[in-house]
Amino acid sequence: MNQHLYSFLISFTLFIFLLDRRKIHINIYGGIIGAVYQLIQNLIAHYLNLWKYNNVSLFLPNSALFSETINIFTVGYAFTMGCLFLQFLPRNIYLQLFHTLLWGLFYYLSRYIMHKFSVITYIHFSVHFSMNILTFLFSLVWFNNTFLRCYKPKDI
Amino acid sequence: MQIILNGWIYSFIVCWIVFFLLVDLKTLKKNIWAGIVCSLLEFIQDAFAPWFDMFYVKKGVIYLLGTSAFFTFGVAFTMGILIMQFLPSNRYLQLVHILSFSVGFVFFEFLLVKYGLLVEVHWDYKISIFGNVIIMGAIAWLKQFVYKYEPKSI
Repeated sequence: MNQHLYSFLISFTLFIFLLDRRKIHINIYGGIIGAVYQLIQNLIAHYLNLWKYNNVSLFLPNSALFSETINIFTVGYAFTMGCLFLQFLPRNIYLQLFHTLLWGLFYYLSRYIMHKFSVITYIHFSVHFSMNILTFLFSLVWFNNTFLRCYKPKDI
Repeated sequence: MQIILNGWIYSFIVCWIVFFLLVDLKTLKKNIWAGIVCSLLEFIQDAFAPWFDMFYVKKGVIYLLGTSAFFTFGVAFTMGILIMQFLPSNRYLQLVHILSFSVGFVFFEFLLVKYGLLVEVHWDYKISIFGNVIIMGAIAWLKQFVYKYEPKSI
């Protein structure tokens, strides 16, 4: 089984089961931004030779979408998880902190598992650096609070 | 005189002068968190980057692992505080603020590379604008957090 396809299918199944259809018109921006972020990150990693994905096109037709440069599967689960991240994001700012730290930890664990099973090879990067997802997640929360949900600030 | 002409010490002195001229002492006890977070993020990135052959700090004078102490406690700390202090309340201006600070920082990194204070092997100052925007966005959230931003409507 192709591991990238497998993880994408799992994330997509979760997405179908947990999706709130009434709020998707807002939360889809989280998915789009997440997918764009992941795609840019993959392109940068390829350009600077930071890491490479293995077995992306295993048992699949030879296409640019399944190449390690684009890797449509990581972009795919970034989209589904981006939507779910914003959907379950609480309003309270302390809970937002907790929620984001937890999701960051899950992302780190997923990267760690990929690293352990040699699905990803870190060349000029470290698996521990993938904690940098936290800065992205916090800026996504900022975007949600400021542009999508338009929370009224008390004193800012 | 030679020590003043070192680029890292020079940037340290300039940043602290700018900081003392512009700092708002009334909100400093809240904004200082941005300085601490910026220093910490900068330290984690730069201290371990040489281990993975990403980039190297040169002429650092006092080194904290891979990074220069004059950068961690200079530019990163003071500019972190000022970024949060001057973040406007209008959301579109916040976006402009984030983008302009990111471009400014890329220009700073360009100068570092040009004058040989930073040697980038598997890194590129043009690409770091991407990371800068994301970090500034996270600081914008941090401002909402330390100012006890409480949403009224959903």
